[in-house]
Amino acid sequence: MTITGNDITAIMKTVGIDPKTVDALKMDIPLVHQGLDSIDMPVIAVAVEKKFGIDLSEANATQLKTIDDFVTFVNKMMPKG
Amino acid sequence: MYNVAHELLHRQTIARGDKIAIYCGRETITYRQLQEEANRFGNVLKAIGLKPGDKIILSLPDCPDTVVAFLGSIIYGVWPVLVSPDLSESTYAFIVEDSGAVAVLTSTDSAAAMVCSASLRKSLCIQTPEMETLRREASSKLDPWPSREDDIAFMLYSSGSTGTPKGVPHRHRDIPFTADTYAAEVLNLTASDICFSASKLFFAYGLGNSLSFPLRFGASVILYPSKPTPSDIFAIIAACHPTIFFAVPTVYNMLLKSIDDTVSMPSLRLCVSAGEALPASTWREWMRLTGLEIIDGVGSTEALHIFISNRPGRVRPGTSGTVVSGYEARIVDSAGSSAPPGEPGHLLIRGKSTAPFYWNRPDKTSETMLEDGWLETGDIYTVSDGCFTFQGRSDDMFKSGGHWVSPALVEQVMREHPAVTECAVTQRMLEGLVKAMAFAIPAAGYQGDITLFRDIRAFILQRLPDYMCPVQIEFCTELPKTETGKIQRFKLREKTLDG
Repeated sequence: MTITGNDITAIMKTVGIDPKTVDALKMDIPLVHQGLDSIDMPVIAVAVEKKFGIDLSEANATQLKTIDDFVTFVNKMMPKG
Repeated sequence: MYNVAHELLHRQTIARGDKIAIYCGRETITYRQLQEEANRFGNVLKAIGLKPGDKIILSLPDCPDTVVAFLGSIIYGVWPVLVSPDLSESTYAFIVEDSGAVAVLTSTDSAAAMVCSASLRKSLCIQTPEMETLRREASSKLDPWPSREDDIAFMLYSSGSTGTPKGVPHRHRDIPFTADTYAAEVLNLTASDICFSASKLFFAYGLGNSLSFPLRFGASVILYPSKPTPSDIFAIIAACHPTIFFAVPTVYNMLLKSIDDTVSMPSLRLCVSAGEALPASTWREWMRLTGLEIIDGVGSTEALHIFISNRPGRVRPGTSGTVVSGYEARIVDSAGSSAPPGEPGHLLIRGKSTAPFYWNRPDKTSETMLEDGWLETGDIYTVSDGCFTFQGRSDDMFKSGGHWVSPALVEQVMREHPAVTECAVTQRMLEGLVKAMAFAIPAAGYQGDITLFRDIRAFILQRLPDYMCPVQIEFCTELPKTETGKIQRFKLREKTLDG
């Protein structure tokens, strides 16, 4: 199974990010430039972690800047099978 | 006689009175103006009936008025008690009562400020007609209060492990000591420098970065009143050309998240981090994308600034570095004996900037301010070849976003939420940094789901600073407890580490 940007934006909506903000997000632009801040970012990371069963405890912060970054990271790290 | 505010201002005004001391948006203030305004503020305090030895709470954003009020109070002999402008009403109420302050200076008529003004003899607000009149009528000359270097000059508040803040009084001598040790030896700060700190003045780290260090060396400082976003920080660096940038690891991580490619910041010669351990990965990424080293160190409110630090050109990423000249450090076991080399133990430090006691807290004073001037930091460290590496805390406290998080305080607020029966707050790692997380037992009729998670977070964010708000809440049916009913947080920590 591979995930897409829509899976990440769906998660953002569930953790309380304004749906209008989420719908306007560009996939390849850093999220902090699109209205998301230091309060939102860790909550999104934890929700992605839980949804896809991956571990972000020691992930490098710069690997997860954009929605595309999340997609690439999750597809690489997600348990196979 | 030694009055630190008078001495430092007087020295810089003679040496470089017309040099700009503070840049803040379009506002600038020279050293001469700073001295005159500080004297005026001291005279304002006199005019409204304050006496040397009284205390005034300064609850202000980072702006020239804050520096003026801090220095003016000290010149007149009044203790400024510098606190965050964003405290909860209950914390303000506690600090008003605990500090014994008789006056407050704020920038707004916020609800929190009202708490202070309702119970204090005098409430002042900057940029109001009343304040402007008082200032205009005050003389720019003021004889400094004839204090000695060991007298208390000001007070900061540090979070306590039970959620009750602790007053940390500092002496006149502490300010120059932090500058002459860390800022001189590690940063090599000179009058040519322009400092810019994302950490605010009410935080001991920010006070050194934006006030003590520039004032001691005749450098300039850039103040930014709001909480800066990554874009704000890059814009200020590009427009104002600071030479040294100070922040906490969380801010460096957010800056890294906002850049795609290499960034050139030619004005900067140093970047500094403190407040919590800087992940080695953050250091490497920052170096790769900016070409700049981050000089990570460890300090505390009790020591006023950094006492162990890496050195420019000799950074060991992931460590706090070596002891700063002027300070001593020991690693001891629980019995107080020196720990064997390489073994983790309690970090004790000694130096002339450490606070002599906690205000009104003899119990905490005896636990922390030990015999012969040693200070128990509460941190567990290892040392190898003189290089110190953070291993954790000896109590339940932890740092997130560079600030102390008291699990007890967050739990107290969470329990006020109608859907929470019981809860426990601990820490977890996320992208290399420590974040608060919670376990909660939902009350009957409530579902432990994402909706409740959002609701509890919104509830906490209305009452506590964002760094205290759990990024994750695990709903459960029971919490691990001792036979006496005390929550076993270490078991929760193990649970988070095990995943």
